Amino acid sequence: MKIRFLKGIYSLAFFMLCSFAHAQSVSGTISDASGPLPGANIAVKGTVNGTISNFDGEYTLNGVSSDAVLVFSYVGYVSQEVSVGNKSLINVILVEDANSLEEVVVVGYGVQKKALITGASVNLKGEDIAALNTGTAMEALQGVAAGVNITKNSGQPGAGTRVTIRGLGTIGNSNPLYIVDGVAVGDIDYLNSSDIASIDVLKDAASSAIYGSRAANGVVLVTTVKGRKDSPAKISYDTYYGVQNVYKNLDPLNAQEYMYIMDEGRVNDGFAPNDWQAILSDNPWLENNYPGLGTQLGEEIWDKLQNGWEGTNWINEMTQDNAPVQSHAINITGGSEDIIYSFGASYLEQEGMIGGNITNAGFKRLTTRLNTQMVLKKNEEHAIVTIGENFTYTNTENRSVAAGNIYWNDLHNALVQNPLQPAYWQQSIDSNVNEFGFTPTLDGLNTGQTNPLAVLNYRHNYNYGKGNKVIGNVFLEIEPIKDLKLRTSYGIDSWFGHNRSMNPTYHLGLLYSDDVDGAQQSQYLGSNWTWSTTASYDRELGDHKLNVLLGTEVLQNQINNEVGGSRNNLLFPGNPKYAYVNNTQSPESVSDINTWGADWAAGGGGLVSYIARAQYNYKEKYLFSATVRADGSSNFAKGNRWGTFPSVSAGWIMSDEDFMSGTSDFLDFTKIRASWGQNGNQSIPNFIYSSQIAYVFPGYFFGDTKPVSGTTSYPAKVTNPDVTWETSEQLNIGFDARLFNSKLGVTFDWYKKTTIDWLLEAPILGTSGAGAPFINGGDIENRGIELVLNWNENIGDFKYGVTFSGSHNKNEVTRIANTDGIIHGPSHVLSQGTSEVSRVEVGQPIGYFYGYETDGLLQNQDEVDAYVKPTDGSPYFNDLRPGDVRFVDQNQDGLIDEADKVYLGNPNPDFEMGIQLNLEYKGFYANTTLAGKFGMQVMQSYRSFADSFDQNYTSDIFNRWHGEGTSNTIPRLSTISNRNTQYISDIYMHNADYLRINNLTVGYTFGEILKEMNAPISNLKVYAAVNNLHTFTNYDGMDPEVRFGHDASWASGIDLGLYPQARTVMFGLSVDF
Amino acid sequence: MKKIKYFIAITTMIVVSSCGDKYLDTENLYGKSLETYYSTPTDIEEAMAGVYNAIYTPNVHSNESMAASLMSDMMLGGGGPDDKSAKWVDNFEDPQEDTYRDMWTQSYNGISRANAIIEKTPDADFSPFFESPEIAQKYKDQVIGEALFMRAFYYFRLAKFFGGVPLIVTIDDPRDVARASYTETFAQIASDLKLAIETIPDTSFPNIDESQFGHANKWVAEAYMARVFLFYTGYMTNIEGQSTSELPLVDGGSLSAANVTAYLDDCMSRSGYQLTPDFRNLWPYSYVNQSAGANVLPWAETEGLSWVGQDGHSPSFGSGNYETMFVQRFSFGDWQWSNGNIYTNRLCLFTALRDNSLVPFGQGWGWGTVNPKLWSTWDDADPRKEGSILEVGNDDQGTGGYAPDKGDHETGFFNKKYTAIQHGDGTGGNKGMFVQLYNWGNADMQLMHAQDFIFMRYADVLLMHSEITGTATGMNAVRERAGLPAISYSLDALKQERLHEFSFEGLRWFDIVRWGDVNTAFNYTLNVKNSGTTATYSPNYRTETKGLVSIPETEVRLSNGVYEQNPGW
Repeated sequence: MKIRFLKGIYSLAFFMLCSFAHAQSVSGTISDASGPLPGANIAVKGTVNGTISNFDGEYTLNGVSSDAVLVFSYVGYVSQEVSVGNKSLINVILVEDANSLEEVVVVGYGVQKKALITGASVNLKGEDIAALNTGTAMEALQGVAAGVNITKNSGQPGAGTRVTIRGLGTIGNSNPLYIVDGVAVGDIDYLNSSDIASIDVLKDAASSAIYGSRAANGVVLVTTVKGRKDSPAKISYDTYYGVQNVYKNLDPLNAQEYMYIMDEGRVNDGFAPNDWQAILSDNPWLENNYPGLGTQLGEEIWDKLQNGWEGTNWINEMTQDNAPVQSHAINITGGSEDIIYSFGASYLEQEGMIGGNITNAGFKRLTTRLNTQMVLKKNEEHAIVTIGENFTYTNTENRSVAAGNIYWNDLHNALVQNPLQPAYWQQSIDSNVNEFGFTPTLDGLNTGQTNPLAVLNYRHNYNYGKGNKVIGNVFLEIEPIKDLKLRTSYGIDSWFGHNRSMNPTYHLGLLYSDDVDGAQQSQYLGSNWTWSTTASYDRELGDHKLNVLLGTEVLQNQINNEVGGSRNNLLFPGNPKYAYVNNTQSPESVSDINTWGADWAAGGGGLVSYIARAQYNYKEKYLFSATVRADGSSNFAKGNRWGTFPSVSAGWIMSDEDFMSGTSDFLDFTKIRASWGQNGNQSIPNFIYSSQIAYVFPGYFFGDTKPVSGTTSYPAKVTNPDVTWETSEQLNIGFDARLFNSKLGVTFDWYKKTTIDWLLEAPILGTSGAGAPFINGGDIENRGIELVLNWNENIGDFKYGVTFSGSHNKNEVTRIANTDGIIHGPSHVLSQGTSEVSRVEVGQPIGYFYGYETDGLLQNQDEVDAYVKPTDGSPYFNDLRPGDVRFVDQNQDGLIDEADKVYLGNPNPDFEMGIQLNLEYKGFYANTTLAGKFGMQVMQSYRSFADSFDQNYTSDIFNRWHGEGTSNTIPRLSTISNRNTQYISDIYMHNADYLRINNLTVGYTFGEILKEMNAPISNLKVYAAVNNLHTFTNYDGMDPEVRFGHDASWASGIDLGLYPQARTVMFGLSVDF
Repeated sequence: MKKIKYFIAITTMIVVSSCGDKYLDTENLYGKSLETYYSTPTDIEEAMAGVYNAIYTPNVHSNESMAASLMSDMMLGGGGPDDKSAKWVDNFEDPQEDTYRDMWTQSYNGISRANAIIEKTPDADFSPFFESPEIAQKYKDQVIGEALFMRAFYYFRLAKFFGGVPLIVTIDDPRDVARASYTETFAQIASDLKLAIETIPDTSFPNIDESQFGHANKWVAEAYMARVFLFYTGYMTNIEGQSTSELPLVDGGSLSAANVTAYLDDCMSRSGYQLTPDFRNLWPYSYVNQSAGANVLPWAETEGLSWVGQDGHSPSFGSGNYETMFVQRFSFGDWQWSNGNIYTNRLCLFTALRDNSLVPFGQGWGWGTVNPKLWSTWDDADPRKEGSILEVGNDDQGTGGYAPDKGDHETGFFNKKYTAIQHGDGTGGNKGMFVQLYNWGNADMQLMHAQDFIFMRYADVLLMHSEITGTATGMNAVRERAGLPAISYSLDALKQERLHEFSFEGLRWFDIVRWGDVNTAFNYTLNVKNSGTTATYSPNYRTETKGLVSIPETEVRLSNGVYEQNPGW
């Protein structure tokens, strides 16, 4: 840079001498959105006269005639032309060119010009991600990256996302590989969006094949913010503050509605309506333990009901309005000639809407990051020795509430709890039943219906823990001769943290009491290291350009330690401040004490890889690329450890051909791409290949040692030493085009991704005598298309842009290597006692919904009489009545049984789309992002319809069948278990198509005004934003986006009462110094 | 070109320097490997415990005692309105596919683990671990014989419920074989038992160290031989209609009634087992007043009951139990453990009073309510009546405060042998008796049932002896213990004696099946209350099922149709 700068000075001096007499001198400053831009080109159009901006972005150009036009340009920015006229000061702000073909993007182990990419990838800039103000960066990709399916695990702060690239290819771990600055990490939720310079998602196999064994689910490459050479320190501060509210709440029945509906169920079954007064006053547990209170509680409730009390809305009791969220981020970037640096610190604090005011639920994250790079040796042409580091430290505290299955879901508890029980009861405190005044169980109604606020409190309030991560790398780059680069990088992914909890005592009912208190403490510490070494060489021979890269990489599990212990009987009962293991009484029995400790990495293990890539192009018109990566994984037996993953790709920039010259006035750029490659998956536990003798606890009890069992062991699994790599193979064909002066961009891709030798634990015959082994036992096919259209135009000061992305994916399991051909989902999902909802089966998409098809409800006795077996004309069931479900007898054998269960629906969307709109006018701007998913279904059950008849309903139940023509979907009410609800059928299923306005931001940038004021601030931006502004959907639940799939990670779309999504209203400020 | 050579040289160095496989070798620090297992007595101890561990089944319906209780004519379905599955089993409907899959797979897990011990132990050199080669050989005889017994135990469990099943008897046997015939399956069971009897050292029960309690011994194998003989011959004769008096062996031979009687005679004369003087002292309710230090069960005080305990001849609690021969051992559960509730006796939880938490009889799920016919036809003079059935609304029994109308199939009578027992813990609250005895930290009422389930006790040896020989001696010994006069032998008298002696012990169902009485046993209608509503109860046994349950549907599918489903399912 110094050389070029000097050259600039010389040429400037030369021009000064030559053309002094004819013309004027023009000077000014060139900057971009983040400050002065050194090294920008300034040229007088149509002449050789020109210069380069200096270190402070300043330039002076002499000998410019008044009718000249100056052209300001910089790689990656939109060039600007300014007529000189009589101006002597011309300041220019260059805008980055989103469609720049010169722009470089990150590929594995290097960068490449965007125009020359032959695979399918998505590139996103950190600032665009940060502008969406999401808690984690991946959330911001929803609706933005075609073919990348992002689903929030729930609305809970810190809950994370599920990321599926181009369809599920496995029922195991389907997460993509995340690489941050060259280091593989589990996810990127530890980063603040402000730390991210760019995210590149590698979707096709050829792009990701350089990551071989771990790339079957795609690769997400993250580059953190780096400094910039020769630029003064830029200090920026970004903040926002917002409030979160439940976007859409459900409406449980109030006390009067509840009693009416419960009674209707009883009357339908021929029982007398409930004697509510008697039920409420009959609380034997309370009465026995606190004589008088059982009756008193019931009478007080009955009196309140008589006076118009509408009961407790448990959801309202549990949720907090205006739960705050705030974020602060400081970034400092800069650099001198040889050193660049970037420092970032950020803090995010998000309170939970549920439980936020009961247990202080919420998520806090502090990150600090320092990236530096320095040139140690150089010659006139290039740097010879460069070293650097990128490190991020993150500290998180996540206080969550339960958001899982029907036994572990606080919101579900609130939905199903009867409204007759008050949330709090003063007598509870006065009579020492409960220190917080939680109302005890109304066990005359149901001993199982415990106060959900008490459960939330005692389950979550006394857990304290923090997690830390240190992730980063140090690297050395040597360029001994020009264009030959040797780079070695040592990275670590490390984590440590501690947890502490108090087990409190409580007594609120027969089934909700705990007499024994205790304390638990645990600590964990772990680290993996990655050492990568690459050599790359660029060679240009005339129009031929070749780049070759060779490398090795070793990943080792270094340490994965966890130790902990717990003891019963606190010395300071009920005071969590003192709840440490030392502060407990001496153990009296073996059950009073528990300890554990292991280093899961002590046995070693890791990956060893060899990498090779060649990229060739002719005149930047014909593009070829080939990679091969060989990986050895310790997860497999010797002999099966190594897998080789090749890929090839090619591109043809058609628009550079002469025969395309006829279209060049509207078609700026056309490229056709095709790629094929293979990737691997090795994510199974170690030693699966050998038969492990597993120790079980407890084991079996011989002698008089009860309650302590003897040491007990047995072979855990059937041995499969042949287990080896799962391979994903993908063919991708696509094209990119830019039209109308690059205003319109089009990207289209078609792909077919086949997963073969899929690693799975398929059920085996019981006679095998041990657990099912992992086998390479299945194939899956994903096919899809992706289309991205964008339009950007400037009309004077008005700039606008529209991006539309759409993707379609079809997922199908094509082989499961057992005779059943099925992997069953869990039972007891929608209700206790109901059978599986989700399945994996040959010929169907992963996790499809399985059950009985129904044909509406029997509306009247005639329809009941007509619902008979085709075999003998007798009724299907003896107890059929109007209001019952008409199940479809698929095989017409006169039985409604297992053989009649069919495909009901698919939780995976057929089509996803995203729309982004950006408007800008003289500093004012507005952006919005919409995301939609279509063609998927959700199985919804907000209560246990098949059992637990005292559970509350939502007001949807008013749409039940209660007479001919009143409903064709919700069967008659009942107080006993019956097949209407016991059988999993499509009455539980709903279409969940939706289009959501994920974000709307309106703001103003004070750029120009500040410049004129000569303020010490270079940029100031204020904005207001709303996340989750509106969801267009016919789905009647809280949210159509349902990640939850019970115990099976591959299942989804089961709505048992989700942690609701927030609508967040935020105000933010960005300031640069 | 020079540059290219340079490039190649450097990259070659890089590749060579990262010496691959040393980074890939791993050592398993948290488990043993199959290759070196079964080589020391410690391995065998652990592996044998693994064989027994397969007795536990995660699904409660796969629990032998629960399944047999619900199907028997003396227990109803019960439970709450949501406990559909209990009523389905009780009414011989298939509740859902795979109801009994855990029983199937756990039995085969136990069989495979036993196969490994049977095959690997003879080759192992245990002499360094014992004082003499003779003692080492005796140890081997014990473990091989015990493994043979356990294999027979699991095949018998399978055969009683499913009929003929696939036979896997060596480590390398193919696993995808078809179901063996009923007779082939029983031949395997009989042969294993016979070899076990011949192999296990004949140490009498009082001379077996207390630390070995829970392990099967020679006498247990002899008793099981009689049970298997009676079941097979009875089933073939009365259900299959093929009059059979011999138990086949794998080698083509067979065992006659006389052979089996000889085993029983051996057991009676040499085992050292004997009847507990008071039948009621076999059951934990007899200890509750001692545990509570208070008269919480007035009836037990009046009757002077005192528990014999459950850890054998020198138990932790109780006076010494010489009657119990073979049990499923239970302790406490913990929800934190994997399948943490299977280590507690769920029969006690599931058949205890529904929604009534009394002292000393605690709360359970109210399954398997007792057929009132049993109460009304049973002579009050027989102390086993009140010793077996819990009558509600009786202050003397601690059930005066019983609140009715909480469950289905309510008859007012519950299982007293296996039930929830609790009393005050000195702080005003109630805790399970076993929780207090063992000072266990987790008082969860679902996990507190550390009562062993008795598979075989000496009274059965006596009654089986009577039944096989057609003589009254054994039967009258059992009657004498109950304070009843001696009578002469008849099958009807024996049937009644078994009903009264073993009610709710998981034997009744198999008795009525082998006697062929199952076809008529359910021809009755009872008046019951379903959660407060009066209703009639009439189970619907289907003779075409021949007393068998369905083969798990998933297993049928996984076998690719090699397994034929049982008739009627």
